Amino acid sequence: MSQSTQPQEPGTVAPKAWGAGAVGVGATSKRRSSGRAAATRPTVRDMATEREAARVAGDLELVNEAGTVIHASNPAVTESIRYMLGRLRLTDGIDLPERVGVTSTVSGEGVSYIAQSLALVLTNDAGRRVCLVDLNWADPTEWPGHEGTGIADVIRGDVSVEEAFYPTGNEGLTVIPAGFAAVMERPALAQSPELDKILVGLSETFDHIILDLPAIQSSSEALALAERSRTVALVVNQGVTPDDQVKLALNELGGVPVLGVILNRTTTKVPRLLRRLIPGA
Amino acid sequence: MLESFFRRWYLYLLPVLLLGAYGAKTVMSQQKVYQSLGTFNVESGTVLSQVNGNADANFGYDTPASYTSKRINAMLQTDQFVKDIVSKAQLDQALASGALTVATVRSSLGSYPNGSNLVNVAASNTDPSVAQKLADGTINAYVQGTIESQAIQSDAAVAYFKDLLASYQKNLDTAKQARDDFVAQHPASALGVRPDEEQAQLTKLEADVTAAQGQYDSTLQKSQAAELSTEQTRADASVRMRVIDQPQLPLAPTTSLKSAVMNAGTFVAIGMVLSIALVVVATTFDHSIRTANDVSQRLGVRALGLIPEADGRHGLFGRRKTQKAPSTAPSKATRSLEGPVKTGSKRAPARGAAQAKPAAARRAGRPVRAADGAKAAARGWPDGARKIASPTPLGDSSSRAGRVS
Repeated sequence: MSQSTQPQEPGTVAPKAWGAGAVGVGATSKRRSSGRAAATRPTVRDMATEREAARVAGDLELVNEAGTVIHASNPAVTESIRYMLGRLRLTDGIDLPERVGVTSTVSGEGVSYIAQSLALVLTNDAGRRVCLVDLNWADPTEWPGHEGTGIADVIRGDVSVEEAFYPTGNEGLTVIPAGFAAVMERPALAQSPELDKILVGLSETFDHIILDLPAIQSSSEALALAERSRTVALVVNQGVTPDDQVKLALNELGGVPVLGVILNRTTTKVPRLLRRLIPGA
Repeated sequence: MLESFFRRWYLYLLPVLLLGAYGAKTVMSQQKVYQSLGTFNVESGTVLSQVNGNADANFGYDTPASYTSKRINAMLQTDQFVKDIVSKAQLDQALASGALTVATVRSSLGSYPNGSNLVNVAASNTDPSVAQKLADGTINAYVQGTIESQAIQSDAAVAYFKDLLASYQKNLDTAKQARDDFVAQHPASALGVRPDEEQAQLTKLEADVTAAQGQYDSTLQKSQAAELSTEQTRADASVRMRVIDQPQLPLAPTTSLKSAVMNAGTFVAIGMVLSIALVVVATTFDHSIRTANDVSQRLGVRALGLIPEADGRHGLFGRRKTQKAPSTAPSKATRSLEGPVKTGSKRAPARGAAQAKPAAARRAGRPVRAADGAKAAARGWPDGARKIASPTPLGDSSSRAGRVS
């Protein structure tokens, strides 16, 4: 990283709020935002080179209009999601539904990561128009440069849907942040008919609406939001979440069609040689 | 189960290592043991027994060697037999002084068949001469004991008839004395004619003598037969059991490399059994979802996909491909591939990703602010944020990525 003292160039660095000392606005900006580097600003060349390196590596990146990398999916993850979508279509004979909620049993299973990666793959590979809606008010994803309006404000009628859009640098991908919702307000927002109307409206504009939902067992409004999703995919952290809890979550989802379970953070410690010798090891 | 093992292989290998070390220590500290081996032959029948029409020894369904070795091993469990061995081995003083105990003698001796008629008797001891004496004593004690036990009935018969003979001899002497006294008191006339009354009395006394003599002669015959039987039994037993190889003084210890390896291997095998048991228990009690099969079988829903973890560590000896500190040169390694690198509050937790949010903010459950990053930097985290994982090449984990079997 250069110890540049060059003046800040528009559209090349993270917004001021996410500047020095902030904890990552994506890997790129995060690397530049150490306390040590308070006086250093990345140059256009730095960022362009890094981004080029990421592209060569096969990463899919979610960037904002300013060019800041917000989310990066590594090749292994994107390959998995591609395989998942292909398998769903070819083996099971169904395409990914127009509206899909991504949720989990307990929080911390990587729902937002999966939702963002899924949205990226859909836009990048299939050229679909995708809207990623963050409905997790309890633990919302923060978007650099965003002023705080989100889906909560749209439901309340304070702003229009278009005003809540978080513009991205990815063609076909639109994000609606969660916005602020008080704890007492969240169940009402989740059950609001306005939310359904908003989602129906979005369906006319986008091919897919990916809903980033709170965990079933950690939020009271999760079930209502899952119901609005029409179809949900359950993210399960491999080797962590007990099956009885997952079963409980699936039971609680009741009438909501469950597309399936996405096992996240899968890894194996079995040596490669052994895996080759023993099929299924 | 393999996955369970390789996740904590160091833990599961601990019993093997500990017991293996204990086994090695045991082998190293083992004293040199000398073994003396004697062999004797056991026959079911002899020429003597055939000539005399005696029945062959009854070994049941076993071969003579098998029967005899079993009997020796069974008799070794009795204190009396062990004491007999010690006595025959002339080790009574060692037993009395406590240098040798019945238990050690018992554990150092063993017998096993070698073919259908040969029986090996092995004795082990740290002292080669004691081993030889014990093996010799065992063979002698068994052979002598068998002979004595077989001849004991004949001996009893001989003793019985001996007592009876003494009694009959007395009766005979008394009858003869009564007859002689009567003849002396009533001498015959010159013509040798006695009165009828005297003649009748004398005839009765003669009959008594004849009866007593007959009784004595019969018993004497039986006594002689019993004595003969005893001798035959002894001779027969001696011929049945004949020492082939006398136990020799062992010159070299029996503790070979093979037995040492076997001993250590036993401990290692026990450790492996324990390890396997641990893995089985761990697998049984692991209720987490690990594979696509778990999803479909235990949850009854479709497994959509397997999203790999990208912390870069794979397999038992996998290399952690985590960048410890950011380089000054732009690199693909600077991007997180573990999960989304977001602006704070909500990050996919656990492992590398969890470090994206400074701990204090995470605990407070609030969005991470710039100040948190500064704190993180102050704590020495790379660039005030977190460890950044390098990209995982499409190889190891990605070869399985998303594959739903």
